[in-house]
Amino acid sequence: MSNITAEPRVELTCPESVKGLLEEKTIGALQTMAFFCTDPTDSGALSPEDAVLISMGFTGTSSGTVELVAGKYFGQRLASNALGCGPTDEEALTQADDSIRELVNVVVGMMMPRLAIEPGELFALTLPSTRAFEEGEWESFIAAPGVAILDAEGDTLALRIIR
Amino acid sequence: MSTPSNLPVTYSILIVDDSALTRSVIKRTINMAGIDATPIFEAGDGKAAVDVLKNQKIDLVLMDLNMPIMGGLEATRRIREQPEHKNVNIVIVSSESTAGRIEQLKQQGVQGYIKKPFTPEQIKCTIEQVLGVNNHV
Repeated sequence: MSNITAEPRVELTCPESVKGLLEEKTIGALQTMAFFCTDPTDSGALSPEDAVLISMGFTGTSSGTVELVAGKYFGQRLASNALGCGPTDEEALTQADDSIRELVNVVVGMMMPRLAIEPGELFALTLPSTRAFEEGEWESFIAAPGVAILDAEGDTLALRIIR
Repeated sequence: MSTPSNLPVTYSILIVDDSALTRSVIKRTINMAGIDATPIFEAGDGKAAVDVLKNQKIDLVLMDLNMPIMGGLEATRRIREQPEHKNVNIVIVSSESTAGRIEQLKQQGVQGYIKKPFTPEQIKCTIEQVLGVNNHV
């Protein structure tokens, strides 16, 4: 079994800490899952084309829902990098949505130790769910406190936690 | 490649994850690592995994935790309840990594834990360790 390294706890009431946690875990997940170089970007980023919103809830001493907005083409690139195929190959096309859901699943799981008050604490997680995201929703989404906006080699992602 | 004489040369592995992407990545890693896993079975949830074990001899189960229909913890418990599968190797592959969850898994008697996101090397090393394989790519 791997050892758990204690990292500083993040309070959901502190938007800057939440933003930092979302950035750190998403950048790390994308690097390991698919060799993506991802950087924080500013709030002037445009809404991803053909976007989807993935939501995943967590319940424990801290509870909330992580939401991620990304374009479907980003899902194709994520799948293609992970699988070692082209972004328009059949495998990448069929696993594009699944790859974004799995990214959210991984990010949420990575965040939980940082939200726990006690080391032995357990969180209940929902399954990631997907819905279409309208371009008109973008401005209000990124205006939320603690939102993280990332540039994954040309694709824009945005994440936030709803309490 | 060297294999202890008391172990089978080929291994049957069951990958249980609701993410088809993750199943594909693990399968690819096993093949690229040169681990002779024939066949590799797949299941998209814990119930399907339990069903596979009813009909197949499995040397190693790589099990996600957060899945629809039946999660990995419940599936592990049900597998352990079956006398013929009491000692089957189960390695959890999950992003849930709180100390509480790790302790819960130890109590369930799993043989290992791979934290998502994983590297191919982590998958390879854990499988080789659990199965007693000593392959070199």
